[in-house]
Amino acid sequence: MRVYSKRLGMDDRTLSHLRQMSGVEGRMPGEPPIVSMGSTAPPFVEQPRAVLDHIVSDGAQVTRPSIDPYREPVETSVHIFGGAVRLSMPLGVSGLSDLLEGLVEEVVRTCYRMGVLADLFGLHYEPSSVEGRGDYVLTHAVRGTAAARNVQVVVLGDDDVDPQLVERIRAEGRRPVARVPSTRTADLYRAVASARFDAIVIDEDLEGDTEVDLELAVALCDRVLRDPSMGGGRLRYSVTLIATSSRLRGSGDVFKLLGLGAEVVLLKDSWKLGTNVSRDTRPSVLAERLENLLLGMQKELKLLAGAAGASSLHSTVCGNRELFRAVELDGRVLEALGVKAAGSW
Amino acid sequence: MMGEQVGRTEERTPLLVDRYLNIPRQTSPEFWSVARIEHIRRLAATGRPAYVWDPCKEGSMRVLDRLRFRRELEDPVASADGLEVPDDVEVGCEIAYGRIRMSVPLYLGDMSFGALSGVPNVALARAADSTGVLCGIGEGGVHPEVAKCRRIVVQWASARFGLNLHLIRLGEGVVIKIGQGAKPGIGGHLPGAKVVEVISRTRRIPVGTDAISPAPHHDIYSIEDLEQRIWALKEATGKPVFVKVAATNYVAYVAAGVARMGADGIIIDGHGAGTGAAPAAVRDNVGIPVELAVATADAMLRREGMRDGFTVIAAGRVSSAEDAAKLMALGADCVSIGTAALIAMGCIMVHKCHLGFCPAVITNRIEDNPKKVLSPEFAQRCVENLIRGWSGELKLILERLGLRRVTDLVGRRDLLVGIGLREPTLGVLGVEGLQ
Repeated sequence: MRVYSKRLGMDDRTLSHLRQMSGVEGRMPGEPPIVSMGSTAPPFVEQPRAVLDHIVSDGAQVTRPSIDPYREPVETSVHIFGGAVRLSMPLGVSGLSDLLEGLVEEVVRTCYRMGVLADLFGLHYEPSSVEGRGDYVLTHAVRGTAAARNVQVVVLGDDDVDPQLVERIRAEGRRPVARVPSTRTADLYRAVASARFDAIVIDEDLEGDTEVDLELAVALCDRVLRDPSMGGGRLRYSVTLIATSSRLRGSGDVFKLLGLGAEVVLLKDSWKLGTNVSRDTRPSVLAERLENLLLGMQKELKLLAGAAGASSLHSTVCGNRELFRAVELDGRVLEALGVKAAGSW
Repeated sequence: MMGEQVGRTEERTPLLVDRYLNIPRQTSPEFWSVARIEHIRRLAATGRPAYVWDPCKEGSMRVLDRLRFRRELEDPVASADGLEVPDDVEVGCEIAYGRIRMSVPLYLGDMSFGALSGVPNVALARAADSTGVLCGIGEGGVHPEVAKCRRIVVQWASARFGLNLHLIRLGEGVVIKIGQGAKPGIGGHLPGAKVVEVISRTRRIPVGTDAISPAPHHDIYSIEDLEQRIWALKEATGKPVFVKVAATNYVAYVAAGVARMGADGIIIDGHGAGTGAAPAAVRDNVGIPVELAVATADAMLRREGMRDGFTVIAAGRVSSAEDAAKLMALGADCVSIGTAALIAMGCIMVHKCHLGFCPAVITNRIEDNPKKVLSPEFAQRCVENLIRGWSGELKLILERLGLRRVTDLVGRRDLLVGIGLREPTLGVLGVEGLQ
């Protein structure tokens, strides 16, 4: 089921928002932008571009209090790969293949410093900065390089998942991660989970404009992993669900995908547009902007979680569809997402 | 250097702003379109109804704009030109279990002293006095001139800025502010740039610091805690107590809880409502539209047998009398306007309130020696005219609907029909659909 076709590019409002956080614009880098008067956000004023635009998050009040994100701690860290690796926030950076090598090296170092994932998918070499930072890097299988130890191998999703491949990867001291397009059905997610992959990356860009919206694919995968027939739901805690698409825009999208079941969201176009990276960008400048952007997004995630009354993203928001409602979506889409219509009890 | 010092000490007469700025071209999508602004300006200029059916809803994607009165489909003539405002239609009503009489079910939204620059606060409160509606004063304490007005409602918000026993007894009632539509779950926010000496004194905070109210009331962590506060405020003031909440997932339960705990009414503030400052991530992603929230809260209150006498006030993107009528048909007793009242005073929707240099001098930083200030008489007259024109439009709508009293409209979902709305939405609204 494809509800919205994939629309790339970003409106001026979103772009300026990201650039204010990264420090390209404005004077408050690393801070959530403040605005005034009524919202112009989709789906009521701007045209909705994705299922995510129809989903709204909760504001906790009266029956359970909200958490003051400015004054009380809101935990944004997530533990991935069965608890083996701790990210400081549920984010990662992807789409590095069109950057110059020097910038890629800097992005890998910055991601490690900030405690987020760097996804090297599409890169045909392994940057030297990966060495010693392997837990925080998703590399597409590059065999025989010096830094191979402890680096995650990403295999493309395929209908016949080979369990021996998983064993082989583990024997090499790497972490097996499956990368799948958002086209497939529950069977693929089931097969990937049964084969004991440490994580599934659902990548909406893997096969062009796929048949299923990323939102629906993430919701489905989360549901499969929680299915009692899949080991009583234990798989949900050993398999990390990572979502990515080039159309994702900012913390709002990330927060909603977490609610649908993702534990990590990899940003592609948005971070590159937000940091305004080009061939001429100095690595140190890029690093600073990326750090600011990530810090700003972390604060925004805290605001959204605190408003919804959640003190921890990983334990309270991930997969918690009850924190969300959908406005003006079809019944079958609501059912596929597992999200209630806005206003229903 | 010398010139600057002289400039500072020299008293200059500020320019009194008593006319509207030209509406700038809107380059990005905006709910408050030029047509909506022009409609409000027309009411504010003439005090006469402009339309029966609001033509500005055409093409809007808001759920409320895709609801129509069945009567409009039969009789679509929209213009009010040449129509007499009927005398035999009653738009007055009583709220809060009959304790407050309203000339028209209109509440001028809670906009604080600090978010607005003083003159607009006074104009709103005086207009409420002269027209017999209510004006919420917001959470930033009270402007001395506003304190002289009778028909104000004092807000008891999480930061308790400037509150004392004297102040909470000033108005017709008290509002316990739990949340607001532009930032549900997050506390009020006044940027440091706007915290000048007078605001600092009223709010009792240092000059130049951001006034960020706590997200929850730290003494209200359950519905039972809320009950204690409601009764404490009732005993302290002897006045009705309202609870203001944002429209969120559980708004129906919250409404039922608020009614059961003894409050006299609930103000439900929907997604898209105005604000002086809010984090964009929260404003754009949190909360549900007020039309859905009112419909669901009304249904729950009726199911629980607590609807009679309890007041539901709908807020957030209420732009015309038709919006008000539809919200009342969905179950509201009264509507609250904020942005519309600002537009009547000259707001041109440039979204710059948080920066403190409002071109229309409504939400600007208060200065000791300002170059220009809003004319209090002009602002008050515009709001009074808006209210008169609005109530004229409401009367014309009621006449078209064949109703004699505005109270007869409340909960009449059968008068509405949804155009191209999806099934789950229609289910929540309790309205039939037309494709």
